[in-house]
Amino acid sequence: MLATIGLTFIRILVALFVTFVLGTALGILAALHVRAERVLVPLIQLKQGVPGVCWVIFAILWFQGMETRIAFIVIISTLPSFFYQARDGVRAISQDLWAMVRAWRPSRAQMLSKLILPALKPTLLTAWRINLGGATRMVITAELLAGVSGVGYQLRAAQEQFRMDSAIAWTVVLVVFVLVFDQVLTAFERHLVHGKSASARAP
Amino acid sequence: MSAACAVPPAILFEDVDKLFWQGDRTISALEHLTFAIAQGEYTCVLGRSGCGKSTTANLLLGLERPTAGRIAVFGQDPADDFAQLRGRLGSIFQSDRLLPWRTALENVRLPLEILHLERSHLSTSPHEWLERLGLQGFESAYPHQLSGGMRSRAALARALVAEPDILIADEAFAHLDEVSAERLRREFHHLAKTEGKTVLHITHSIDEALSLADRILVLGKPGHVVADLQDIPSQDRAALRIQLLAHLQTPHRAALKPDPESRALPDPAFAEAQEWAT
Repeated sequence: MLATIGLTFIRILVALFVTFVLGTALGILAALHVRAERVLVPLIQLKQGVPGVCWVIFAILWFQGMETRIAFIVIISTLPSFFYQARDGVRAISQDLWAMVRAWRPSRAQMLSKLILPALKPTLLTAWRINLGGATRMVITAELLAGVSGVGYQLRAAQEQFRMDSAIAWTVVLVVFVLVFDQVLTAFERHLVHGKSASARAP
Repeated sequence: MSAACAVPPAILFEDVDKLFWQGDRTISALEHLTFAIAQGEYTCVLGRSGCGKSTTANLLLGLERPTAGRIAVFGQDPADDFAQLRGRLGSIFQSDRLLPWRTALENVRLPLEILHLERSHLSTSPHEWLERLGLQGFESAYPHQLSGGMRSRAALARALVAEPDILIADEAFAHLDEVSAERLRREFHHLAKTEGKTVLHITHSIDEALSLADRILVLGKPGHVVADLQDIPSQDRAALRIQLLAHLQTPHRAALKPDPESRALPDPAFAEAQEWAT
């Protein structure tokens, strides 16, 4: 049972992490370069127009390996959220802060590490929250339709065997995972974004 | 030009124009702006709203390029030779511009991280700067946990920590209450003078300019020098105040270049201003 749960959760988190890196990079690129945005936004919009279940069918037809199929489905379904959150997050950085940091003449890498990525933390955490539920649904759907392992596969087996108790137990496992991970994100946000841990206060 | 400018000036603006485009409209922010500031000089730039004071600061920092004319900081173009002036310019602005995700100490350390400056190369550490500016005990406080005055002090420490040669203050104390502003501007002036910094202090306050400056440049709209007053500390403040008020009341008009010899305004505008003042 633990192996089944672990496998599904690793699939969700690895695919989400890959999407996070890819979506954030593309979002930052789109925010900083108009030409990149002109190319990327229509592609994202095109993707948005295709129903999620169609991507599952495409993944089954296009790819052989189970893991590749699941990764493709999660990436394609969660990429727009990371992309738009990153793009709009960069655009929301105050011009005053851009000017202040630029006045010290940083390199591009420094601009990214000192200003852009820290400023994006709140919006990217929101994207993680939004995508966590979505990615879980997509992975379970993929496992359910085309899997031979994982929680989705177990749900399909429960359905085939008319085991309601088993179906409810696996559903509870999924809900608990999403809630626990959301709490982890909340704790991370509290620690890194708001700096609530600092004790010093102005009189 | 200043008499002190026999040696190469720290800052040089030569016939600088700056235009902005808003749709079909062209807005002239600076028009034939010409001045030079010698090393170690504390110069206040005084002007009414919209006369291009902040544009002047942005051009000097290399954040924008002039439409025409030449700008030189220690002989180098701040926009074209952007990297060559790394660490030589420090700035404080009307808003503190502290990064909200960094503590006060981390904000002060920012220029050192960007410039890769080690503690051993500095005469005063970030920690010592905060202490010097009365922020001891608040090193680990985030900007939202500090008062407006404390945030301004942290911003001042950040501007000074990398030991820049030139300090640019753009209405840096305008948002503070009178007591905090007075204390901070005294500290800023003292630090700038003792450290031998060249200062371009942009303000719309006549009293602030009179209390701090060695020299005052008055800008008209669009940005051009309408008056260049020197040796401020040795002159009668009341008379200077009237004179500055008169210059500031001068109707906006086409650029009037200051006479490099007499430093006086061309006659018609000056006569107009004097008439108003009296």
